[in-house]
Amino acid sequence: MAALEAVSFAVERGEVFGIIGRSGAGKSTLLRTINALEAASGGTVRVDGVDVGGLDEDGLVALRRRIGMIFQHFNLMSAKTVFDNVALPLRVAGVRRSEIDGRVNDLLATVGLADKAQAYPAMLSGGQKQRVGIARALVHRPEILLCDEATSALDPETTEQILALLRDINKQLGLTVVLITHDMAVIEEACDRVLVLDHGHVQEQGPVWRVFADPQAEATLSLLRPLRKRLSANGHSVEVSHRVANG
Amino acid sequence: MLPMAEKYLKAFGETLLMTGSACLVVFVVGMALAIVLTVTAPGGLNPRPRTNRVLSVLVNMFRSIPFIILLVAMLPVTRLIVGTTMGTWAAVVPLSAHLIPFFARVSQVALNETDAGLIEAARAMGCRRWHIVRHVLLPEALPALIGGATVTVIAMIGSSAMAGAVGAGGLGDLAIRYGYERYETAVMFNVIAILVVLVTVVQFAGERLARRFDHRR
Repeated sequence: MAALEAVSFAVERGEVFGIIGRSGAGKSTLLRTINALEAASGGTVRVDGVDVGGLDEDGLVALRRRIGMIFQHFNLMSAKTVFDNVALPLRVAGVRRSEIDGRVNDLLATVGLADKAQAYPAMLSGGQKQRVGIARALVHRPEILLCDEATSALDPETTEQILALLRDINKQLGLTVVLITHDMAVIEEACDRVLVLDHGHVQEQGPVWRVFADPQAEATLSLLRPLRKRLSANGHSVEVSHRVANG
Repeated sequence: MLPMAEKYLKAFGETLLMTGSACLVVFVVGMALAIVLTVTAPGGLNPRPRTNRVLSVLVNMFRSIPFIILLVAMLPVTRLIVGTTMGTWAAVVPLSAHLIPFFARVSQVALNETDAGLIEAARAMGCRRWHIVRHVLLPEALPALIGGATVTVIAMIGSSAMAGAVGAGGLGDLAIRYGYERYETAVMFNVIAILVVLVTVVQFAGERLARRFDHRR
């Protein structure tokens, strides 16, 4: 059985594109086809017009150096310091040491971890680990950032901080962000457009404000339910929908 | 005849020389073998099912031969490599052959324990297969590899006792010749005491070293 079928969408340069779905919907697989961690058995994935499926190892390495990726469980090397984790993509790309030092330190400052350069990941909190993950994903100055459930292992407050950081990066660097999540609050907080995936099929896609205001698919409604419950309980629904409309 | 104390010292030196040099060979060759076994395994970084199976069968073959038999069976090979079949250096060949597969398996298990997420992250950042071995598998498995090396050194000290059969000397040989064949029980117990201390020191040092490289907590 195919994990994904008849999934077709385009991500615009510089936008934050969200893919949402329940667990098992195929969103993780879908995200991984973009940097060819998963090979599509049919159909094509194009990044800037280049068919990802047709690349050899050199082509893949070059592609992946233009695409950063962050993960739900951070996937930091436990045996390396924060500095060495962030430096790793540059080291394997053969960048000079002096240049590595400058770029890594700049990025650690950007994500607010300049004082943790010599710490090991095990000594950091979840939010700090994800900041290291973000720094590592950005260090070779990619044009695209893939976020695989990047905030699902974090508490709500940390989630908000990480999403704000992603938003900042998106604006400052003009980075294209593709994120997957099962949490509509993340979509609402961070995304410009959203695609709803269920059982390997696209249920609907469009601007976040439109999908929130006028959901078309059953899957969308059920994904929105917890968010709506939370909002009405807090009595903030008017304010939030206002923010969505402007976002 | 040598005074007794000198006998112990000489035997201790021979044991150190035998186990030390055989361990060096075992670590280098066994590690290389473990990397190849891990990388070529189904679902590995570079799956080569045929190569993997052949190597695996070879490793199992050597592991199933009791050391004392390997010692004798390898005499022609030993002569080819060392030039003689007697003495301390001659024991290094069968000792290595005996423990290379053991260390390779222990290391393979350690390398296989690497979190798949880390390998995925490495691929996503543009690592080539060799980079993944060098920067992910080896450093992440280092504490477990040191643990495996410790077990191997201790197994080596044990096996080297049998190397007296090819005139390699060493502590085990001393214990058998004086303690068993001449009924000088005191010598045997002294040797046992020395071996206990030696093994304890190796175990302790190995554990400390492994902890020093373990940053997971």
